[in-house]
Amino acid sequence: MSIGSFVRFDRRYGLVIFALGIWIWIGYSIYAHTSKKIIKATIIQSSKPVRHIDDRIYPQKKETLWFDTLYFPKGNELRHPKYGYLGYRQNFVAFFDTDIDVPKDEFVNFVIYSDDGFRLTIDKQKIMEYPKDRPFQKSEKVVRLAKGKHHIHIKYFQGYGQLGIVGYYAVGMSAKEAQKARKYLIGKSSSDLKFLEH
Amino acid sequence: MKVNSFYLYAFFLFLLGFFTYFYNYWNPPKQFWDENYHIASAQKYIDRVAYMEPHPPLGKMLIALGEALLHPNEKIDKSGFDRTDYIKRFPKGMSFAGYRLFPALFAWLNVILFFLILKELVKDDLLAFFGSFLYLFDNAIITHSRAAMLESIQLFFVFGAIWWFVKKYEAQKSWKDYLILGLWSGFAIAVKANSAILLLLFALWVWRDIRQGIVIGVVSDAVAYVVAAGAIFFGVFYLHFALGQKMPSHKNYAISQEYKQIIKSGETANPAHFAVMMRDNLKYMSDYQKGVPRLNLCKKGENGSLFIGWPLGIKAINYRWERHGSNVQYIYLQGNPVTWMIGLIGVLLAIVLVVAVYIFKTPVKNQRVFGYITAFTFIYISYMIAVGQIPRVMYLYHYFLPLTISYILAVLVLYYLFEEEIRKRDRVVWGSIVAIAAAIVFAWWFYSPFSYYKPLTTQEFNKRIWFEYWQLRPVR
Repeated sequence: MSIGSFVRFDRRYGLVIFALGIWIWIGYSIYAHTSKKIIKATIIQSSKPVRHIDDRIYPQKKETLWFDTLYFPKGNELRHPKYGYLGYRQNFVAFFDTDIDVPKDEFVNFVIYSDDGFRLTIDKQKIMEYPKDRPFQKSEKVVRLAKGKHHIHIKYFQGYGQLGIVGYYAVGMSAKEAQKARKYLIGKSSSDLKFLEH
Repeated sequence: MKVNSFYLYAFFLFLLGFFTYFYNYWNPPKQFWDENYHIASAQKYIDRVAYMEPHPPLGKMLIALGEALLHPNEKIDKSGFDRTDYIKRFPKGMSFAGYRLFPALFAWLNVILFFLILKELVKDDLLAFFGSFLYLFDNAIITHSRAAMLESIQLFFVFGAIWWFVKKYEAQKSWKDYLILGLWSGFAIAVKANSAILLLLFALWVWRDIRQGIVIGVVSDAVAYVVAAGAIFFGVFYLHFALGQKMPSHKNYAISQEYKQIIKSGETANPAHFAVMMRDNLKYMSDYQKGVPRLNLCKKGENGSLFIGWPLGIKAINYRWERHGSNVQYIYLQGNPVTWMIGLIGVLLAIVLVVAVYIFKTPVKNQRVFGYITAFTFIYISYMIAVGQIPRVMYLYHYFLPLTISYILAVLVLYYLFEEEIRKRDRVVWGSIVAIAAAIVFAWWFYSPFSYYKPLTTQEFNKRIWFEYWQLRPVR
């Protein structure tokens, strides 16, 4: 488009673009803040301190929310990009449950960053854990998953101070390949692993 | 018989306004935000108890008048309201229909006044009709107006003053016109002191007259304006004193010995004592303002906000909530993002236009409309500068006055840019205007649970947090 044609631009369409822009903005804003029902999170606030993954919880408040990704970045309060701050700061546990469909036998590398601890189980089998409190750090484990559906369960706890939990996975035909493969957020489907929506 | 389109649009807006502002205004029958203060004050008029307050008295008098007219709480003991400035517990079963009557009624009538302002400005009924959607569907103003609070009453008189200002702006004005402007301004200032920004309307009138060489009569015009505004302001205070016939039992306020003696002798309605009572009241108002805390953004749960963030909607305030299982009902001060965004763009474009004309000498397409854009931009900026000097904590609803000015500016800028197409009923332009109006209505509906105490799940609430900086937080 030359400068001349830009000058001849019918300014009425500026208003059309503005009107369309408002609708796109509305649509995008609602979409961006609407989470798919992929990961069910049950969060329990404890009235007493929690310092270990297996500590007894004294429920003060319990709520269930749905998320599309396991992405609660490091900070002082539990936060998800779609929802903003969730109001949890200390002494709580969260159970994340999701179902996956694996199209063929493959190796999956699970990478969990957490502050404080967590425990990952697949089909009720413990895969990895960090049971005590810690700063935001990484844990990693490769597992072999058979073709078919599997249930992923992650228990996470936060004691005091900073918090956060972010989970990734990567798929490969061997353990080495899985470790080097492209990582996706837990909750985001890829060609090799599908998260099932509820 | 052909019905004038103006009346048709006005009637339709009136009808829509009934549903957005007035319908079911007495719900929830639970207090929120400053109702604890304003109802306590209003009841003192009904029971003839003297009191003092930081705001001028007219708003609370009208709140009291609503209760006196409807008297829905005849069988309820409200005597405790006279013994406090802040009602901690409202009697069980108390109706808010009376106390909220005039705030909701004025908010509803404001729809028509806003329409009249736009009609005077753009001289196009249909554009004024759609432009009125900006006020009609603003969730924040709706939320705040359906309560025993002062802002909708204030806006009524502010709109009245603006309407009169615009209606007579180009006409040759007599002192009577200035007097009427003074009356509107006086009423507005008698509700809330920040309405003093309306003095700029008077200044703009005088400035226009002087520029047109009309110098004779400026003094009499000024006198008429000041006398009218002063008469209303002090007249309202006179009524306030006259109604305060009993000494308050819980607090002395700044009531001097002289004032006490006046109350004791039943002389509060005697104009001879007006100066003493006024002096004491002004002293109390001044001392009270000094005692209001400053904004503390580090404080957990701070509801106040910086004026500079208001145009972006910073910050929303949770007025009231109630949990029912997994659902929570809210009364949340949260603006309609579409109208607020249009208002902000209106202000920014108006500033760009004014700067372009005065600094870069861009030719003016329509001198009349440009004059209005300059005037309202000046008022908007002046208010924001003035409010920025106030050290006490301020809240998002202190932006309502400039917000409505920003809506006026948005319509004016639209008209300025597309005047020809609007007049010719160009389909592309009008199609866009209708699409924008539809977006306003949609956004109002989407955010309406916050205005009408409708239940939301956390998931539904979260869909409405479009910007983190609004600080909308669901209750968990």
